Amino acid sequence: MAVQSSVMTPPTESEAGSGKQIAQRDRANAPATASRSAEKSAALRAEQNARFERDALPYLDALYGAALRMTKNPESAEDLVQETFAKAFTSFHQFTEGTNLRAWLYRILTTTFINIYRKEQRQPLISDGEIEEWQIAEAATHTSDQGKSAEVEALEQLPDSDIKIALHELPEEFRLAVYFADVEGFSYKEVAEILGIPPGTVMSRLHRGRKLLRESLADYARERGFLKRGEAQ
Amino acid sequence: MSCGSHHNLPCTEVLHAIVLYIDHEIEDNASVQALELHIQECPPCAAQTAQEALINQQLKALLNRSCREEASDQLRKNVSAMIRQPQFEWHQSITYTEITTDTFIHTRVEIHERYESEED
Repeated sequence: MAVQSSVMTPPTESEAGSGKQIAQRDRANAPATASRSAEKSAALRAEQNARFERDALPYLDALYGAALRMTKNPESAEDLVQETFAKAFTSFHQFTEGTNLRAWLYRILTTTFINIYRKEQRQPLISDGEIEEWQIAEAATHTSDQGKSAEVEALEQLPDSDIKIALHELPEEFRLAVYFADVEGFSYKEVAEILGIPPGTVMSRLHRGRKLLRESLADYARERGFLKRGEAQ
Repeated sequence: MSCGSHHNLPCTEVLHAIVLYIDHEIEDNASVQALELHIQECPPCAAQTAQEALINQQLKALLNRSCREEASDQLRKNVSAMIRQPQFEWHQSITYTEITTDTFIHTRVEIHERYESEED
């Protein structure tokens, strides 16, 4: 058995990962092709880096905001954002130009968060089966005002700190669905892609999350005396 | 449960779809039209839709008011520095391994890709 090896450096982007194509090439020409490709590759990379800086960097504040809602503390949020940008930067060649960059970045943020931070503090997750049961139990009936206008007025007076705390107290799966849909304005389909769950699950998590959040906000409003006890229960 | 009058679309179906309607998540135009027609003709469903829309909108407004954050200068600096690092490059190497036996010649091609600093 004779084993013979040769090593060469960067071919063009389009050839990356395409083993077959390279294997079929005339190997005598390989070194010349490689050096031309190396120049092309360096230029491509420079162009890509500039594009990343121009297109992805403006999302820094928004991603940090999302990271803060995930980790609940500034230090971890900064680590998470740095890790996210490092990953996005190194895999930017896999991003298809013209598709949704914002959603792509949030997807990386979310998977990074889940991989790194959730391992540390495993919290019990509510199964989606339970959510479906909840949905079925929720009857579709006409409801009268039930003090809703008083609640709307009371909630308006809540300080930002109460709203942040109430959001942080929501179980993670609800918190992220609500944050992505209602703060970032993503569609159900985009939220589904970001969280890696089916759109139907996004719908139930979002609806339940909003309801839980609203109930919690009403409690804070009651504590502060903005809302009478028994109102909008 | 029902507002008493007869609609093509039952109230229960409308009530189930209200949130999706408010969130602009109903893609089918015909469904949106049927829903809007029902809401126009049915005061209880119209009231419910208006209330849901108000509540939904308020929650969004409250969250947007309180959850907007700004990254620290240090974080901005760190991320910018990482992007501008010129030595942060993509490396690729290809290894051809030819295995010759009595019966066949087999070429194995391995592609190794990695990002690394040239200073490493």
